[in-house]
Amino acid sequence: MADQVQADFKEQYGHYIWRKLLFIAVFIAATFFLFWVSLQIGTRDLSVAEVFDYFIKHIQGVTYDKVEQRLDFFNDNIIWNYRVPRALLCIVCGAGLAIAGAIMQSVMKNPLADPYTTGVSSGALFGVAIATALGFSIGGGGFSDVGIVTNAVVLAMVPVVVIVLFSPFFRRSPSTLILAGVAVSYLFNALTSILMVSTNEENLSIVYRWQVGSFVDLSWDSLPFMTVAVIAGIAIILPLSNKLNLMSLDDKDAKSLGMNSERLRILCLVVLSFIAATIVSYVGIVGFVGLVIPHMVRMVIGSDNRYLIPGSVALGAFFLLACDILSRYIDVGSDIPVGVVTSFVGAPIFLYLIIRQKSGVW
Amino acid sequence: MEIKINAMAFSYASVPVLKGISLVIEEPQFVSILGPNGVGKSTLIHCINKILDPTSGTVFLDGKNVRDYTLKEMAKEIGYVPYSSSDTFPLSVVDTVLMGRHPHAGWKTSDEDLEIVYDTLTKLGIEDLAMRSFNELSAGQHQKVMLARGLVQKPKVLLLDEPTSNLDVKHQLGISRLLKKLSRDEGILVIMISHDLNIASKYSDNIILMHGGAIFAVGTPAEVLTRENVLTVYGVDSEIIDDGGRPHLVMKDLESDECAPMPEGAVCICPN
Repeated sequence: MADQVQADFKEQYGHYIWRKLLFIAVFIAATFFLFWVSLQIGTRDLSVAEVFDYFIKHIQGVTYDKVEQRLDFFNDNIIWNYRVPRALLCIVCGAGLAIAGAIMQSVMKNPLADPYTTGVSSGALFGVAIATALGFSIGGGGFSDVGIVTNAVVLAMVPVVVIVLFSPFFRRSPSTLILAGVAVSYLFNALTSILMVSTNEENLSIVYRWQVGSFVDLSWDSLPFMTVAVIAGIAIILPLSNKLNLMSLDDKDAKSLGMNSERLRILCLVVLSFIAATIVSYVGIVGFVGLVIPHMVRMVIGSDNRYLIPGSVALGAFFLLACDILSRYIDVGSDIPVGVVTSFVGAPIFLYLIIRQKSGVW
Repeated sequence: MEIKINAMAFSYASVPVLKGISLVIEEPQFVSILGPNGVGKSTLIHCINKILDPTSGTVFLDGKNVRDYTLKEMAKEIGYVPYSSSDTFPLSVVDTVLMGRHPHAGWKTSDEDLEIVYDTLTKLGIEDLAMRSFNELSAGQHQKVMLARGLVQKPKVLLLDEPTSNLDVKHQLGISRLLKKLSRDEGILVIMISHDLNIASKYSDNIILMHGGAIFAVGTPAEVLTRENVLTVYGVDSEIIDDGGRPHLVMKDLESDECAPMPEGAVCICPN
């Protein structure tokens, strides 16, 4: 009898875990689906079958002659050099921002934490502005891809160092930490503004594009570094996700359960800043994803980090890709920044979820 | 299981909290630590399970210096039930309790872990809460879940920081009885911090009374809870009544007695 009850309990728990895995699987599948949808959208009208055909053929190594097969060459070029990298960028960037937000919330024990509210993104943006406006970069690369990325990563670490050094003072109230983050990001934003008013129009528009977050002008070249950063981040954090659960407890409690939070917190902060800084240095600041996607996942499958982290990766990729598709669907030519769409789409959904939520997730 | 504390002192920065603590606790039993607010009770138990590092002196657990234990080894020996637990990101009750398996387990939850969790929840009579979210529970249920988390660590010593505060009378008695049973049936050395002198007296085998960062008296409830001791430590006068061989304290408050009588017309009734 007792064995039966226990077996029932295990089965119930099994279902409960299975539901979480299902959520993750559904959004991974949905992201694959959107990837194909995304390839259809653009100025050039191509059917689903045509796109698929060109895609497969390209993978098989079929090439077209520029003069003889002009149309095929042109279509293949559009799909392979514009639409595919853009879709992949959305996936990588969405996954990276969401995982960075999820980690930050757990590490800081604070539902408001994300790379933006803690100043990491503003630091990275300031780094981009220095490279662009002054042509100066910390590695000596000047206004180049490498220069921008190093600047962004180094300056994104500034708020992290502040957080780590001052964390003993923040321990009493998690809100203090966010307030400090907001202060740091105001400081960086002011510095960025100074650079912007003192630079020429061309640089101004470049920095502005980073400020709102945009996928325009990005190509295959932007992908490798970002992808490596995001995948490395996931590979480091996922095996630690059970420890992240303990980290959302009081440090003393975590210690009594056999874990030293301090070291793990620093590791996590470095990893997530690296992810966030890399993304900002290519795409700019895409708000909302890092803060809100993890909360949406929490509402559906709960806050167990072992499932929250992969869930955020899946939903983040799906969400950003969907927003990009929407922005291109509305008007391909006008280049609505993707950051604008994420806010327009995400904010109402999130408000609806908050109002509908009966039991508190926070 | 033996805890041996040798001339231990602890200071936060330059503020001394504990001084000259020497103590030996042996064999499974139910021990209460009493003393006024800020006397260093929590600091004392944190020094025992390595959450804090004593400024001077040593703590031995079964003859081995606690400094030589890793945090994980320590978590297998000593379970800790905190005064309150944050629920910024609440998990289900099962997942909350499963965290107590951390020192024993890896990333994946094993069948054995689940069995231990379920058995512990059953023992505490809260198996029906298993799938509920931690933040939907009442204070008494919270306390039991935290206790379950400490128990699934399968410790030989269980430290509790005010486990009966926030609880109604029935739950206070229930939790205290349970702790006493654990020390008997499971052979666990249970050490609890308490502010309720009568609860401590009713259930404890031994009591440690603290005063000014040091141990003031140690012994059975009858030995420790005397009128003089309570008056010195808490500055509260009392009358001791014998309750089946254990002291029961009735607190006196002369200042209150001296207050003016009840204002006339201060009525609180239920009409009809």
